[in-house]
Amino acid sequence: MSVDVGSLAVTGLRISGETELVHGVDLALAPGEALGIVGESGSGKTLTLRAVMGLLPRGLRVSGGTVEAGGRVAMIFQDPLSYLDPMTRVGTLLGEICRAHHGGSVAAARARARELFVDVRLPDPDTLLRRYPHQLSGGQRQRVLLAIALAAQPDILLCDEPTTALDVTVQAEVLALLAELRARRGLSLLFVSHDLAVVASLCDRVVVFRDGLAVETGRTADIVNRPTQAYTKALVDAVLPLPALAEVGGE
Amino acid sequence: MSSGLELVDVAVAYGSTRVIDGVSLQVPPGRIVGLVGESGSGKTTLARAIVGSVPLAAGSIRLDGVELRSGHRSREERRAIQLVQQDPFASLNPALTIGFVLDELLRVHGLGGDRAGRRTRSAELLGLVGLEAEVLDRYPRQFSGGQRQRIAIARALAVEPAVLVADEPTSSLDVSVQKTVLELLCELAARMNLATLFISHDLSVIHAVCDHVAVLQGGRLVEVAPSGRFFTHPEHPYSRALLEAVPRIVKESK
Amino acid sequence: MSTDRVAAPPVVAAPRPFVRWLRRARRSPALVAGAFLLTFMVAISALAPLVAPYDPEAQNLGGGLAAPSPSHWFGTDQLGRDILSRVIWAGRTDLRIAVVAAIVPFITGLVVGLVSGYAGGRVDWVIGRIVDTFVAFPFYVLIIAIVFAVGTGENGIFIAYALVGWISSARVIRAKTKALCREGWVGAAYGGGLSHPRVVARHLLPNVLPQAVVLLMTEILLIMVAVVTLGYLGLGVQPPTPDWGTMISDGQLFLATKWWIPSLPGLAVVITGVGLSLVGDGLADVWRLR
Repeated sequence: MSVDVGSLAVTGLRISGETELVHGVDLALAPGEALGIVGESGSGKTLTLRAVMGLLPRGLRVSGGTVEAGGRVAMIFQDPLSYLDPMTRVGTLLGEICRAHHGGSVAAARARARELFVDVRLPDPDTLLRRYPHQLSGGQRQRVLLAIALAAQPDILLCDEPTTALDVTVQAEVLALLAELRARRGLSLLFVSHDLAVVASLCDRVVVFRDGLAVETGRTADIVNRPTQAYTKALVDAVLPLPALAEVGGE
Repeated sequence: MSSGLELVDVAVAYGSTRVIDGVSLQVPPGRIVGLVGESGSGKTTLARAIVGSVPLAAGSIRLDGVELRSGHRSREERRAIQLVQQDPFASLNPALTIGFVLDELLRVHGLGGDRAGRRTRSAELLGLVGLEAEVLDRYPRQFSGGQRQRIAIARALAVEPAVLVADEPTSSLDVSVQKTVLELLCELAARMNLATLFISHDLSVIHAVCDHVAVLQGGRLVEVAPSGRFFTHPEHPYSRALLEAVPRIVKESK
Repeated sequence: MSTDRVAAPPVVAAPRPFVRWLRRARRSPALVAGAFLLTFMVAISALAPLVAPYDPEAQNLGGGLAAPSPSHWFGTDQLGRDILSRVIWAGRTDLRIAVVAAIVPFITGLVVGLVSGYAGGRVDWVIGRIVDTFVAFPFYVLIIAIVFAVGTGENGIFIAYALVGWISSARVIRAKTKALCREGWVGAAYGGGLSHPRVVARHLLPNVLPQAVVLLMTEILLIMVAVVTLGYLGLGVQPPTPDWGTMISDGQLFLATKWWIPSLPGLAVVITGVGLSLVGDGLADVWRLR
């Protein structure tokens, strides 16, 4: 059974360690779509994402169900600092990764790395390429991770709470960048977060996870306005509201 | 009658750089003042300066009009300002029971009477934060993040402080638990007439809890305003940028 | 919605903390093996008067240099003394000295490490320079120099270790204390109005003690080896008191011909040392210090 490029089909996924942690989850991602996974800690959302990527931690395994991904899959993570080698300049790291994916000379890889830095809107790429991870800000590091993910020319991008540790202004920029990349490259996004507001601002559809189960799935507007499950409703209600911001110069 | 916490032109330096500069703020009793800042704004440094862990380079911190020095505060001065920290998994001593910690604090300050009286008082304190008396005989590892945070609040209240500094108290907690803890802080601030400084990077949390909002950018206060005006009509461009960046759920109008 | 209640009490009354700890302890093979070896050696040493078949100092010049036999399990040495009895009685001496000599440096190392780690600043700096000075000398050179100055025998060893043996554990305890001080609860204790001594003694100490106990096992091991070494060099326990070191030294001439004379005391040292080491490792495993 072949799956379209850029689509993802997860059927009856079970993940177990000593006990079963994810109890039969179904997910469907259409090409070019952005699907958000919302849940609290321990809901199994991160494990599900890692299972799709094949990156489950030691001691855990997929104990049932299937994952079918169409095309290449790449992933970005919550804490960029722990995913970047502190002893390697980010440009060098990205260059090596480009070579690993596409071969070619070191110079060609370097040029490609620079292009990727421009794609992720990193200012002054020539300078930043020569920096070490600790010399970059949180937002810059996350863009570097994104560049690394894009080096593989993926069709599907998995995002594991990539903006949780970022300042709200930086978060807004990264989310905008993700939306732009999605539009420009036709990427499909699977975005995990505990923050329903973030997911709702980026994604077309939302899945709600609780205790290893997908409790509700639906279009974002439906989930937010007409949740059918009590847990979903509670999550929506727990989002603290902010009054509308008046326009500049308004009363 | 306490006049609360007052910061007058406070500055903190690391070496020759001022990490906090010219911060003046008032936190009256019974009110919750919010301090908003992103990473690098200096908000945690300010919290530490208020509790005296970090020396001031300039300015003064006053409680009820009396200036507090850093580093050599008396027991009474330390007791008057209590801190609730961000990480609930590092804020409780893993080797001691909750009951021991509360009992010791009460005993050292002469509160609660004899041993039986202190135990009763400890149970009352736990009751204030919605936990049962059995908690007293348990160790921190037996509790979740939300429960530990409530225990940390009970510990802060045990010494009957005048000022509570809450440094991102709900940032590490799940959304459902967050609401409980926030409601608790509001209720306690009012009931015990605590002057509360609520530090957070999360504007929606600040909106839910605070009467006044102060915005910290690069170690300086760029805006101080009542909550009602701030969220709809922020004056400073940075405040506006922060508010515009917050992802909001747009609900359909009924 | 996730509920946030205190865990419901178990149906069966929870076993007392010590019993739970014993169960956890059983899961560490190192601890079990080490405890077995150590208990064996300590028991035999303690019960020496009952267990040793002969008087360790009874000479029988006619029956000297006898190989191990049913009447003398470990054979006899050049003066006809039963080696098994001597090994047992020597163990009693050497273990006693090692344990007693470890007490003062243990306490000193713990106190210095805690104070240095908690106080930081100038106090930490001064202590650090004192430590650096001691560390500049090879350890055994210091020990031997002190023993020379003070006199051989147990007292020399007690004094030498009291002066010098605390250094390595102080450094480890200091590092652990510094790490703990970064946790919020230390600041919360002082901020709640507790005095510095109280924070160190009632709050930091219980968290540092497991590490200290593991270090103590190593300390006892090292002192035991030092006692044996000094005995070998003639600077430790003096004859006629039996000591593994002097037994090895006296018997080394016979290593090729009558191997049992120096080797069996050596074996006793090894078994005790391995036992101590395993117990230290096992405790570190159980307390998750590694």
